[in-house]
Formats: sequence, C-alpha cells, structure tokens
Amino acid sequence: MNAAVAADAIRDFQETFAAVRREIGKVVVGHEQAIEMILTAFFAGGHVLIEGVPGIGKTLIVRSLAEALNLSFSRVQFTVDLMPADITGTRIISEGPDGRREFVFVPGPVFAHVLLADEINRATPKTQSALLEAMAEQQVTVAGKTYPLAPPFFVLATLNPIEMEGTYQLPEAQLDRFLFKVLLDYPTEPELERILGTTTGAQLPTVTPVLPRETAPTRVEQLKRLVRQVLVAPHIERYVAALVRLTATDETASRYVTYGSSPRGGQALILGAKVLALLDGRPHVADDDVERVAPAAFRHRLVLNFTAGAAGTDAEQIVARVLASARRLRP
Amino acid sequence: MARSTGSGAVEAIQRQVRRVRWRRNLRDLQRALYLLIAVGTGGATALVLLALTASPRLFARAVAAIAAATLGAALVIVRDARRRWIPGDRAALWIDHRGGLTGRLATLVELRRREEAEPPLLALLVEQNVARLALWRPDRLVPRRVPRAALAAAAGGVTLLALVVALAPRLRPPAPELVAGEVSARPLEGVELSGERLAVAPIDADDEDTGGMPDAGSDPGSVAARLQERIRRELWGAPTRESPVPVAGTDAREEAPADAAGDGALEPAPSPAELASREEGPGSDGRQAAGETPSVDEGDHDLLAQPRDGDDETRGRGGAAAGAGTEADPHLFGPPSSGAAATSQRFALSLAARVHAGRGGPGEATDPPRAPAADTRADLAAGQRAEAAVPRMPVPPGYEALVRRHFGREGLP
Repeated sequence: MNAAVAADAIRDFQETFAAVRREIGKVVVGHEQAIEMILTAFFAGGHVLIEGVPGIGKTLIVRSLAEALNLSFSRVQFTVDLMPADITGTRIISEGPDGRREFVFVPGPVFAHVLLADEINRATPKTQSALLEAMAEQQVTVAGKTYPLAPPFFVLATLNPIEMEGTYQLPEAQLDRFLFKVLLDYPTEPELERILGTTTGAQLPTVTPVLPRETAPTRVEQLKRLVRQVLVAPHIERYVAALVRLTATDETASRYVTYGSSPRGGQALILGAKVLALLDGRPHVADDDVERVAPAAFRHRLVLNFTAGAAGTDAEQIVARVLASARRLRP
Repeated sequence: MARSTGSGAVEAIQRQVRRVRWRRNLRDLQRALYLLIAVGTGGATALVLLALTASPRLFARAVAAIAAATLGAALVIVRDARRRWIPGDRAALWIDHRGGLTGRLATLVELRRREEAEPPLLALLVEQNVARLALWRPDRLVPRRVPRAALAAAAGGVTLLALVVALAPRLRPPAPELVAGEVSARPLEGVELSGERLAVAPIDADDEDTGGMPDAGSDPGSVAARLQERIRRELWGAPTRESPVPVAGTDAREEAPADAAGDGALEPAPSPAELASREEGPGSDGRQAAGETPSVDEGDHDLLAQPRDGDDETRGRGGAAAGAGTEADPHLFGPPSSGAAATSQRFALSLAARVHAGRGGPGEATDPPRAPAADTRADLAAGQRAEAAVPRMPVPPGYEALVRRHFGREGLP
C-alpha cells in the first residue's frame, strides 16, 4: 500500500466513523465520549459493557449504531429464567416435504451483527456463559455442532447498577471478554432539555444508514482490518506492558487490587489506541492514544479487594493512579 | 523489514537523527565540563580564601566541607550529564518529544530496525516524517552549540580564582600585635627575670591540645594545615618562617625598620619550628658572643619600648636590655627547647613577659642609644639564648591556668 492509498483509507475510516457518530447523535443526546468509546470498540473488533441506570439511552445507542451501519440487530432481555438456548438457538424437530422428521437448528438472537444483551447480570451464570464462546470465538456450538457467526459480530451488554437483588455478578472470565466498559452518566440539564424536546415531538428523529445494507458488513470488516494495520512501535508495546503490570504492582493497586488486568487488557489498550490513531489521521499509535482508552479498558478488569470498598476507592481512581505512575515510564 | 519503502527518505531521516543527537550530546558534554570547571574553581577559590584568612582549625573544617560540597556537586553534574546523554536507540524518541512529532519519528526508526515484512501503512508514515523534517532540524531542536550559562559560570569561576590568586598578597594579615605586659609579672620560681623578653615555651609532649597550631602528624587536620601552609607559601611568596626576622646582631637591627614598614608589617605568625630555629640560630653563629643581643623588629620595639611604671630603666632602640649578658640566666625558662619539641610544632606559647631587672637595669633612653656595656662575663653571654619577638598566639585551654599562674596575667583582658 503506497502512501496515497493509505492516506485515502485512513480518510475513509475517519469519514465513516464521523458519519456514524453524527447519525447516532441525531437520536442520542449527549454521551459523546461514551459513544466514541463504543464505536472505538466496535471498529477494534471488541465488545462493550455499558453500565448505567435505566432510561438514559443504553438501548437507543446500540440500536442507533446498528441502524447507522445498516447491520442486523438483535436484542435479548436477560432475565433469571432465560436459558442458553434462548440466546444461541436450538434444534427443533421439523418435518420435511417428504414427511421425514429431522432436527433443524433455529438460530438464536446471537446470530446478528449487533447484539444487545440488556441487563446481562440478571441471567444465571449458565446463560451468561452461553455468550462466552460467541464473544471470544465468534461462533456457537449447539448439540455438538459449531455454527459460525457472520462478521461483524458486536455484543453490547448493559448492566444496571441498581436493583442488584436477584442479579448474578458476571464472572471475571466473561468480564475480561469485553474490550471496554463504558459508563453512562446522567445527562446534564441542557442535555435533558434537548432529550425532552426531541423525543416528545410529533416527528421523532431517525437514523439514516451510513453504509448500504449489502456491502455494510464487508465495509465494516475492511475498516476493522485497517485498524489492525496501524503501526505500533516497540516503545509503545513496552509502555502498554508496563501499564498492565502496574495494575497489579503499583503501590495503590497492590493495596486495593486483588487481581490486576489480564493480557487482554493490554490487547484492548492497543486495539483501542489504533482506532484513536486513525481518527487522528495517524498511521501509528502514540502513547496519548493508549492513555485515552486506558480507563475504559481497565476499569472492569481490576478485581478490587475489601480494603478498596472500605476506603471508598473505585477502579477509576486506581486506573488514574496507575496512569500517573506510568507517565514516569513514558519514553 | 524490507527496505523498499522510501529508503532514501528514511536514510535522510536517520542522518538528521544522528546530527541532532551529536549536537545535543556535544552541547551537554560541554555543559557538564563547564559546570565541573565552575564548581572546581569555586571550591578552589573558597579554599584559597580560607587558607589565607582563616585559622588552621576553621580551615581544617572548611576544607572538609568544601571538599564534600565540591564532590557532591560534581557527582550531581556527572549524574545529570549521564541522564541527559542520548544513546543512539533513544535519539528518535527524544527528538519525537521535543519536536512534537507524536511518535511518528520514533515509530518509523524503531520499526525500520525490525526485520519484518513491511507494514502497509509504513509508506504513509515515511511520507509524514519527510513532510515534518523541517520541524526538528538540529539548529531548531538544539538552538545553541555552546551552553552559554554553563560557560559563563566556568569563566566566572576561573576569573574569580585568578583574582583571588592575584590579590592574595593583599590578604596578608597585619603584623600581629605584640603583648607588652602592663602588670608586674611575678618571677618564675627559682628564676630571676631580668630585662624584657619574649618567652617561647617548648611544647609538652604529653599535651594533646595543639592550641590552634596544627599537628604535623597524619590526621586530617594536619593535612589541612599542610595544605593551608602550602597555599600561603605559594601565594605569599617566601615562607613566613624564613622571613628575615631579626633575631640578633647588628644586621638585624639595621634591617628592622624596613621590615616593619614593609612586608614585615604583614608578616603572619611564625610557626613553632621557626621559633625553634630562631632560638637556636644566634647561639650557633656566635653573634651573642660578640655582645650583640637579640632584637626584634621596629614594631616590636614600639610596643616594648613603652614606659613601664616604677622602672627607671630604659633601653635603646634595638639595644639589648640592660643586664642581658651579665645577669640573666642562659636558661631563663628552663632548658632551651629541644629540637624535637620545636620541630614537632605541637604548641608554641609566646609571651611578652615584662620582667624586672634584678640589677643593672637599663638607663635613661638616649638618642642615639648608648652602646651596651661590654659583657663582663662573656661565657654567660655566649650561652644566652637568642630570643625573638613572636606574635601572641592562642594558649591552649589546658595551658591557660598554668600560664596565668606563672605569669600573673589573670587581671589582663
């Protein structure tokens, strides 16, 4: 790829990203940073866990994303009686034209490009685990048979931080499979006024697809491949490795963290940083890109201990301290 | 990594990296060198100043402090220079940060070192770097070849040291005041004092207190003392203890006024070794035998020639005290200082002891002074010790009581 072609590809990525964000912004008021992180994870090929109270637009963001990209969209409301087959699909006995009966696989909602797992912590661990294979390997296995998921596959799960009764905390292994965890805050007062104005009128805002339906998956995959091609210098890799280590060995982290980030945290840092580099028009990752995605990549990967809870220290603060420590290691 | 993508451009970039690195490292080396010179000359200046003006004890302490400070500063400078030194593999990163290239240059240089397949976006990275070459020109990142502040500090330090060395003779202290007794001293037990003398007491070998005179041994204080003496010797010309202090004879008397008016006025305190040599010198050259009495320089005479209460004795200018050579005990204060004790330079006590002549005191002062009467007992005159005026020197605390008891000077300030 010569320089001109590369520059065009990066420009195309920037334009697509901006167009999708603009379309989402038509229906979702505020949450710019959250939307940028969600899109970053999407183009980085990861999944996102969104935490926020009900009614602040979690589902709307995901639905708008799917509509903007013209991708198939499924939504699963996780409840305590939800079964794995309700997600992955199941085999049913079907009678053919010749009268023969045979098992036929009926795909579940997981067979979509964009899957919204709403209130994922309300399902049992068994059902939650049904998503593990899909998220990690982009395939599901039903009755011994493996079914691949059509790319792109993007899971966006939501967590409700309130009403914790009757919920099942996500296992660490599953949390680790989310590239980012994004926090949705309450909208500000001006944002709230805009929300009220736009959602209660006669004409509701709609999302216009950015990509044509036929070529959308292919185009998205092209953009994701471009992200993978972004250059990462050895000193950036060293910096990311040091950051990951510091989540367990930093003075603050060692006091409040039982388990630090896994290597997946480092992968999330670099992949997210690559997207941000492209958005900045660069073919390479800078250490600032890494720091920008660090909170979203680390906050759900730190297992805090009792001392942290007693001291009122949360993962955000620990990540901030880790970043401050790591700045001394910056090349 | 394949070298196909813009090899010429990459080579140009790497050449510029090397130039920037060379320029920066050279400047930092100069900076460290100049700062070391500044620190060294600053320490030397302080050392010389203290050597010329401070007491041996203060100088000994100051030497340690100056040495520690200089060494510490030098270590800091060297460590800072090591920290600033840019090795080859970090040059691109340094330039990247200084030039605001957001990692472009470092990524390119580091990836070119990897023997991997050429990444698809590398061509764009090379192009972006070429477009930004002007942002990190050597003269832009390292504007000055010479660190002016450090150079000025070094020049200032050298100038200051040169000034101190040049002006060192002016720092010579004035001749120390000689103490002439105002109170009648009690005669030493068993010794009848006569005439006016400056007594030089040899050191007691058992005494550890040096009384401000550095020991010539191997302890750090003696090292500092030798250093101080050496500095003084180098900067004040001829060693003070070799200065022509008139100890006896007509030659000394003739030279005394000139000495008092000239350099002799700035002459510092003689050392114990010098005193010892003065004690032994005249006795060996036989001038005493010729009836010449030891004399002091003019300044000493001025002090010693003050009128004394209850005395009708006077003495001539430069003349020997009356009775000298006739009645005085050759071993007035005991046996003469042994050579070992004198050269040990442990402690020298000088006193301008005002004594009473037992008999035959000096007559009225006349101008010109009368020639002393010929010794009637030439054998005693020959054995008389040479005495010389010495500046008042600090008395060690351990000796103070003894000195006061023997010389009755408790009432003096």
